[in-house]
Amino acid sequence: MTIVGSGALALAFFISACTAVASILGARRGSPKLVESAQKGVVAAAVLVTSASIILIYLLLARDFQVQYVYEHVSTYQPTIYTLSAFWAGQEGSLLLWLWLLTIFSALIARREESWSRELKPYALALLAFCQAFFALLLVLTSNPFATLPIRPAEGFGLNPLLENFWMIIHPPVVFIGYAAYTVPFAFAIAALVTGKLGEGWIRGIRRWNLFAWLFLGLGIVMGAWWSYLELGWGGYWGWDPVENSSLAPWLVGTALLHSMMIEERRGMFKVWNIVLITLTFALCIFATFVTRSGIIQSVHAFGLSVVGYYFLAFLAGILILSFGLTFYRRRELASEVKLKALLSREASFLLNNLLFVGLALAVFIGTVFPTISEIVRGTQVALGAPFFERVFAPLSLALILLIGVCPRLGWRQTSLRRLLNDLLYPGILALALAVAISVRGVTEPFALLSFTVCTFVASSILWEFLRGTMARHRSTGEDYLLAFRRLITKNRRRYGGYLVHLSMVIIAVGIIGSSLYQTEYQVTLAEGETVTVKDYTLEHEGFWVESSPAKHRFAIPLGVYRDNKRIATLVPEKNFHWNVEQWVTEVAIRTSLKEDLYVILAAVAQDGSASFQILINPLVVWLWIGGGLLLLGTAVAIWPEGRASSKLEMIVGADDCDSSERLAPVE
Amino acid sequence: MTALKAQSKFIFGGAIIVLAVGYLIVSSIGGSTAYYLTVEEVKAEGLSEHTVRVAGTVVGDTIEWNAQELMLRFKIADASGSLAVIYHGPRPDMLQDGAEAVIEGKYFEGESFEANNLLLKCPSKYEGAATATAEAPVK
Repeated sequence: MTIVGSGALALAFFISACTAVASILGARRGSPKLVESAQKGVVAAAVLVTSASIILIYLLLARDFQVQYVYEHVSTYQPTIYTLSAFWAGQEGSLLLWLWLLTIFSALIARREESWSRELKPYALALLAFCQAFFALLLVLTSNPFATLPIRPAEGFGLNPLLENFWMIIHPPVVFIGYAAYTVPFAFAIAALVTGKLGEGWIRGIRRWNLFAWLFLGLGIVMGAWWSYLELGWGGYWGWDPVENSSLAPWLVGTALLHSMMIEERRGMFKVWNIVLITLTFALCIFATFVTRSGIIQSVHAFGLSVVGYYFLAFLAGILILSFGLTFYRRRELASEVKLKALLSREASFLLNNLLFVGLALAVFIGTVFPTISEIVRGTQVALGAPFFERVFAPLSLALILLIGVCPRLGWRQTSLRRLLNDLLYPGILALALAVAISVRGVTEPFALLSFTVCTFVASSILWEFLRGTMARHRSTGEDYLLAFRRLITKNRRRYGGYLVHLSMVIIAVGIIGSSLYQTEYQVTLAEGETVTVKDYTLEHEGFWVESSPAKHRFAIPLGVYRDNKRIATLVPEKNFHWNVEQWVTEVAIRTSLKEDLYVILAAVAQDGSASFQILINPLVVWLWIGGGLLLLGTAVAIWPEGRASSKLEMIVGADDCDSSERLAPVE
Repeated sequence: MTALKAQSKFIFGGAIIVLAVGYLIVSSIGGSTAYYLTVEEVKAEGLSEHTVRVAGTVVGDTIEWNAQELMLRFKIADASGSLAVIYHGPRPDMLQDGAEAVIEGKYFEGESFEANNLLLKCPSKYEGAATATAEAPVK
């Protein structure tokens, strides 16, 4: 089995390399046969890598401990679902997952005939095949998941207990789907540069791939934060750890890209800029894989430099040289078709949005590589801590949120100030009213007050837009309100999907602001039967559980939680000794509500059953996860194909994403 | 308004924003750096003015854990010597003899190192996430 697996990977490398060459030659010489054979090669590689992946899954489920990867991540006593998720618990499996996803995406592209991509496809496939060859080579040479041990151990080491969490089952694949999918827009950008077909066709064509990649990366980040919050047990969800940062950076650049692509699509501007953004997004995805897996940067997730790092650096350098070289070569064709005219226009506001997002990404990148760079330049390692990121992020993200409120109210080309103010009047009044209300209730910290006001302003301006649209539709079509609301969204998916995503960002921001500015913390020691009151909650120590299993020795203390003399929950914080890693793993207990989370960490247990706890009250944390859900919903709305019957009509009317504000905006 | 003039407005505005963002990043670096020092260097410098980081190995039999007050004392050692560390908060799961630690905080001369951040890697040759951070509550 292992030989078949290794063989499939080696063959996948060989076929991908040949495919890349054949595809380019076929397109150059105008040989449809060669191009077609390259497309078959892409599908063949997908079949091979899929087989290799299925073999690995089989070996994991069969618990074949002679395979080193299985031995390191599986045990006989861990639940089957974690045996499956062991696939992406280590370097070898993660790289295989990357490759697997990439080959599936490439095969989809190869099989799909679309008019816009006809001439671009051979080159795009060549680039995809080249990336596949890189990952396949990496797997074969440095990280073969099918490497075997000389003997067959009776028991495996088992999954790291910290990875035994629901979100760890889906977080890594979700992030990797994002990374791998970002290869597709990059491949088409390169193809457009090579062929010189730099019209709007390709930008429009990759829109969906781009959204898809962006969505998965974003969801993956939220899930990772959730895992961290539930499992790492320090009361937070984001530690500005290099691995977290390196997944955030491509998402930030990707967000800038989503917006500036719209400008190119509609106005033929920002062409060079878009290519730069696509390249950076993809390069940062590769960089993120590299950071996670090379150990070049000290992190919670990765230690110890491995040889994989050098391959990644060479690959990264290749990508950047190729893309920027081609961009320079095509610089004349990439000139903007129109120039920016008015400050109060959507184009200008997108420019601002782009600068801020790229600024944030730059800050994240600098903060992440700073220790490594400073060691090279000055000989000493200098780290940048969380305060650095917070100082940069607080003002810039607030500015971005404010932009969310203002931007969509700006029409293309130019908008009059009076119109803009008129549009923003009600949300503004509402936000000011809230500011007064919460300052009376005791929120007096200037930054909190300012940011909550901004968030209210933006959220209400988005909701106002939904309301206004529904009312207008109700009046003009006579549909009832519910139907009018639904049709409003389904007839303008891109526009209203985008608004939902905007709303999700505001909601996430509220969660971040609340939990980072207003976390409160208590430390208590309780004997059995004793109670403690923190804020509105009374907690009672209700006993002591000890149990032993092949995986761990478990200590748990059930706490009865009361509020207003009513029992509202039982929390069971635990401290477990895991035999495989020979150490304690703390499992926190959380009671979630819309207002705040009660977060209990079992710090220590004494002989007599008394225990010390760290109790945190984290306000508004749940809104982060709710925002994540809305992000999924909004992007799904935007990405969903328009209904066939209606889309023709909408196209004639031009209502797709060009919205009323454009048609109403005075054009000078 | 001429096209050139209209464009210069954007170049000027864009440049201001780029400069503002750049300034924000550079100025934020200033107060947030933490130098990696060896134990010897920490002691030679005396009372730390800024946050520093020290990497070393946890000396197992020096670990004292006061569960009542959630206070932790231990020593870390590197090639140049050993350093007493105080940390407030729950005892990190991975704190044990031989664990590789990076501590972040300030050194108080003649006393000990007040860590507000512990980064630990467990000694077993275990890949990936067998590490954890712990962060002391910010006062």
